Amino acid sequence: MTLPASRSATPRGRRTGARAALAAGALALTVGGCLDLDVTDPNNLGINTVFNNAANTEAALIGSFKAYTLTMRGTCASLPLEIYANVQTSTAAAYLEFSQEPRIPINNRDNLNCLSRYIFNQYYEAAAGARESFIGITTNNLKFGTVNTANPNGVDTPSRKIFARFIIAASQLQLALLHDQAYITDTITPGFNQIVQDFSPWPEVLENAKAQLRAAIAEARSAPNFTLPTLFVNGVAVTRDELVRVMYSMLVRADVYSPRTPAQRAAVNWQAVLARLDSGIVRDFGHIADPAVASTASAYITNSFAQNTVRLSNRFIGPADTSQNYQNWLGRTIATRNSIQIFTPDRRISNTTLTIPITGPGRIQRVTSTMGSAANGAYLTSQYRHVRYLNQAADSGSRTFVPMITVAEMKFIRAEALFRLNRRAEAAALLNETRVPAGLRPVTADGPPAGRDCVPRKDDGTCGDLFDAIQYEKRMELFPSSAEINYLDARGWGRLLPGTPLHIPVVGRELITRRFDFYTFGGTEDAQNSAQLPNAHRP
Amino acid sequence: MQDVSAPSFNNFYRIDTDVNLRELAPFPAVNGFPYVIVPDSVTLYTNPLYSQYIGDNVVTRGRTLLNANGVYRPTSWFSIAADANYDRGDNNQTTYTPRGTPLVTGTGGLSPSLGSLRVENATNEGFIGTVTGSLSKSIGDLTLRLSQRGEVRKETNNELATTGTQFGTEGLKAMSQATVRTTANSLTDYRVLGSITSLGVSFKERYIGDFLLRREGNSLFGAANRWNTFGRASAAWLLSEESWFPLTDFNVFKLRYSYGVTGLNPGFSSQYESMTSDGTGAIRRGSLGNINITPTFTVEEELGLDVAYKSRLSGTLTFVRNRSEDVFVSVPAPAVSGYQTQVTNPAQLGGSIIELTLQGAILANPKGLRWDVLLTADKAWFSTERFGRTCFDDGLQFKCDGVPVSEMWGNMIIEDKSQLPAVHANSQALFDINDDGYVVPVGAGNTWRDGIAKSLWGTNINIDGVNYRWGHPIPRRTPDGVLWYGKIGDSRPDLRYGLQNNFRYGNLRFYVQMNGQLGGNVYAKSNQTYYASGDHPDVSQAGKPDELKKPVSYYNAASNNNNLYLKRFVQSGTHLQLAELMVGYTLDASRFRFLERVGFSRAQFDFIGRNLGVFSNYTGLNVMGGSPTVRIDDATYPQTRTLTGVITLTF
Repeated sequence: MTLPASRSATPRGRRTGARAALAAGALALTVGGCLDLDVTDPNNLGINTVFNNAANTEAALIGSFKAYTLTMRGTCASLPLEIYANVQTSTAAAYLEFSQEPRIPINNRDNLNCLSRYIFNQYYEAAAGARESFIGITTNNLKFGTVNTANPNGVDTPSRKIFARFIIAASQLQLALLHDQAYITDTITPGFNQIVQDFSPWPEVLENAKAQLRAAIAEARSAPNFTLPTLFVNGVAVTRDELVRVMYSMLVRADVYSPRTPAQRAAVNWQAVLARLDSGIVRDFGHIADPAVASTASAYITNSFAQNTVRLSNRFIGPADTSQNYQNWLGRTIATRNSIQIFTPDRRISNTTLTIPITGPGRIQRVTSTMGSAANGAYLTSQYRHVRYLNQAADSGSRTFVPMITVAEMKFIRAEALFRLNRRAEAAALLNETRVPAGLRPVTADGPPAGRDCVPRKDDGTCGDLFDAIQYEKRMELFPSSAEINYLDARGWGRLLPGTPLHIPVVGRELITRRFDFYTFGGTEDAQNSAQLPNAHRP
Repeated sequence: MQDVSAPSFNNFYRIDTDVNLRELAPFPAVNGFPYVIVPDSVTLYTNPLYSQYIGDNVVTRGRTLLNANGVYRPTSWFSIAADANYDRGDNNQTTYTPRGTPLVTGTGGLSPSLGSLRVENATNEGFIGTVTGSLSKSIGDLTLRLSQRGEVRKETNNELATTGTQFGTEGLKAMSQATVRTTANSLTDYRVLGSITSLGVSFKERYIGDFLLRREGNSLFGAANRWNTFGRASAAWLLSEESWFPLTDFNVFKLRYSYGVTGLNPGFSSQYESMTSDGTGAIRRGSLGNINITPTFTVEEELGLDVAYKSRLSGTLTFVRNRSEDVFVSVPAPAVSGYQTQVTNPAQLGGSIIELTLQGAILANPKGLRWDVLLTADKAWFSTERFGRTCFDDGLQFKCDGVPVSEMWGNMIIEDKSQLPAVHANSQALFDINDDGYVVPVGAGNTWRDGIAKSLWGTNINIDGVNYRWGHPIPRRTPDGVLWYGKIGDSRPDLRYGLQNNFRYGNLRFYVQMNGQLGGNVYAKSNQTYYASGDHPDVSQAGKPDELKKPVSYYNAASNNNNLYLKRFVQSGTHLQLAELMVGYTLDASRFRFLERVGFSRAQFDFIGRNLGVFSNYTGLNVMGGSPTVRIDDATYPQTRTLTGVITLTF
């Protein structure tokens, strides 16, 4: 209703105007009086709606564990780590930053860097969610499961707190293993939305991870028995004792994989490692990928059998070659290298088509087609791909068991520990469990038997020793169970190419946000942060 | 209601220009569409005509406006006014691909769609109510206007979208036929309470002042920063009204100055931390809210001079300076928080602009010939006074204290041998500079022309231990090995100008408007995109002698596969646009009697053309692309050319 202004000039118009003004004013004042400026977000959950509520906090814990698994499930950062480890190679333009030789620095200014961003931010998404869940449970007195006289705080409450601490510890461990520095996450610092903290050097982060693991183990041991529902570690029910074993295996990883150089790795307390292995896992730990459950699929497993622009590195399969083709390849300049065919008695590597799904020992298959984008560097091309986890439905990455820590990994750590402790015959026996079925002659305390069929070989073509055999067997058997393990092993064994970062810088976007000076690693031969010559495998 | 089906603009451009989109298919795959669906034998892009043909996307919009107002004037100098407004907008959109519709696959074949339907419903409602008390009084030569307004505002936006895929049947556009359905909704609620006081003062109609104070409570901010104060003060002095003013030929000579503080609001979700369910029992994190977010306060000062000379020539000269504090920047959230991003207020930006307008009659012939001209020109300066965080690159901009936001920053391809890595200091002879100006690796005894003659294209070359693709451009790196990064251009023009000419002779009218700029750069992202995809005309080597031919991978490398902003793609933005041209003629019944016979007193014919042409040396698609601070031509739909004819008949 709009009245002409002129009508208010007449007595009747003035009365009408007064009434209209009164009505509109009353309406405006009524709405204004009722208008509360404190508006909540109707679209998302916030701190107050998540961590004041037991069901939501449990969902936050589950989300935190998914965030933890994401880094090594995704192409970023698993593929760059595999490339750095010389297990996989790529001609794709997107990954040349990591595959190119000589190595170049990480482009840490890239907000979306496939390596530095994901291994930093995603572990903190996991740690922050777990930390706030822990704080929420304790400060808001949240109760999980049945509440009764015997369990006034809820029968499941202890297990939720232990799981929260477990995620914090696991995330801190990954950060300490992979980065030069990181933030420390604990369960003591009060409050939510933690945003200000200083970096700590990786040894301090590592100690915190180990302390959190020990605390979680102690809490679990004193807690009533429990089984985490299958939603926590998707598709896998985890008992209290199994969780404790997983944490012991993580303590083993902390000791074995944290060294940055071969000398540091040799100096690990291997006796303590052996002792702790006895308390470690007795079945593989991981989750089931399920297309119906978000954030469970594994692009990493799918990448293991890629064949277009991603394949197995020649340096991965090369030690198996008995034809000198690998040594010739190494002897050529980068500009003249091309993919090579190898010949080996190791039946895990086949030059003919393998039957899918794999039933026998074969798992690496020759591909005769040229890799895509070979123009980016023929020296990066390979003729082999891994098909162990390729199934006929070609949905391996979305319907499979996604391993995170395997019994096999622990076995090979045991083999290395035994070797380091000069118990070579015992180490050799562990290798032969997989080596002999693959058609290779058994190793002894002296290593692989010499001869034309010696596998593995050193880069100069001579027969490898027992330590070479441990490295070869571990890489061959574990791939593709954990991407970062290949990188961490290559670092400790001196197998990284010169100029490969020994650890990854804090992602540039975090440096920017926190106003720290920008830095990166790689490319240059920086003794503290990049691999050096001499190296076991020179370019 | 509107059909909004629109194929990608890139597809139009990527299909070779000599491809006939209307080539008849010998065996049409789809009834009703007679043309070839993949018309380009080189690329696999869908015929845009086919995209348009199968698209069944419809938008329906509706709007409801209600207003109630009233004024009560108890005296001649005082009034109370109230105003209530209700505004509702409805926007419904459906996007539909019927099951069975053949779609182009990655290998160029056709595969039937499983069907998809997306239905989006958005409703926004707004209510604004104001009550204003006004006082207007003249005391001698002094005139006062004082008003006090209370304002209440509430806006809600409600959106619901449902997507159905994998249809179980054909021929029915109904969500019930989809076997997989997902739904998402969002709701925003924005509320404001305000108090506005304004005072207008005029003395002898030559000293004029205007003042405004606004106190506002806003739900987009946390409790600590919810209430804010803004205002404006301005003054003007009409010197030409002074008895002592000596320049009597000036009818108007006015000095004016204003100072104002305004505020800019953040988005609805900026203050809230966001966590949400992934739909399968887990809660994941999104953005970290900022409960302490404040408005962006912009202080603007304007100093101006308005003149009119002998009622024939008028002009204004204005200098504007503005400074924005607490500018919103979406930054990565600190990693330890576990969130991805956060909106913060760290920045302070500034700028100034000087504007000149001149308007006058060049010709005013008593016989009816008249020619009026309006000339506009402006020059702007931008600065980033503070960014409140470590410098970082943000697309084409380098966000850093003291770096103007208009500057372009990026990387470059080596174009001078001195830019080669130090390791090549003694082997520069192994590189050559090709006809594109790039330094390329060629090896001993070769030149860049030998690629085909010596079969060198596609090979690698190792120089000083560094591997290169023969003949391909090389990104420039610093001595540390990281990519070189620096200023590569500036979006700010030296001058922007406009010229409007209005001719009239009797019943004939002619109007032409031209706009343009001198200097400044435009980033030709369109060129870079098509270099990377191999669709740029430069990639075609037809007609070139062999020694000049280069492979597609060369152009991919020259564009760094479209991954970086490269200096080579920065071009001059100087241009002249013929923005509008109008020719009109009026037939008057007094002269053209036949009009009277058909009942008209007058008939007016106008022909209007807009965006008729752009003159420049720019080689990309759109020299006018981008925003004033970031001039980037990113292969989006360019400004369209329109031709309009208007006939106006007066009874």
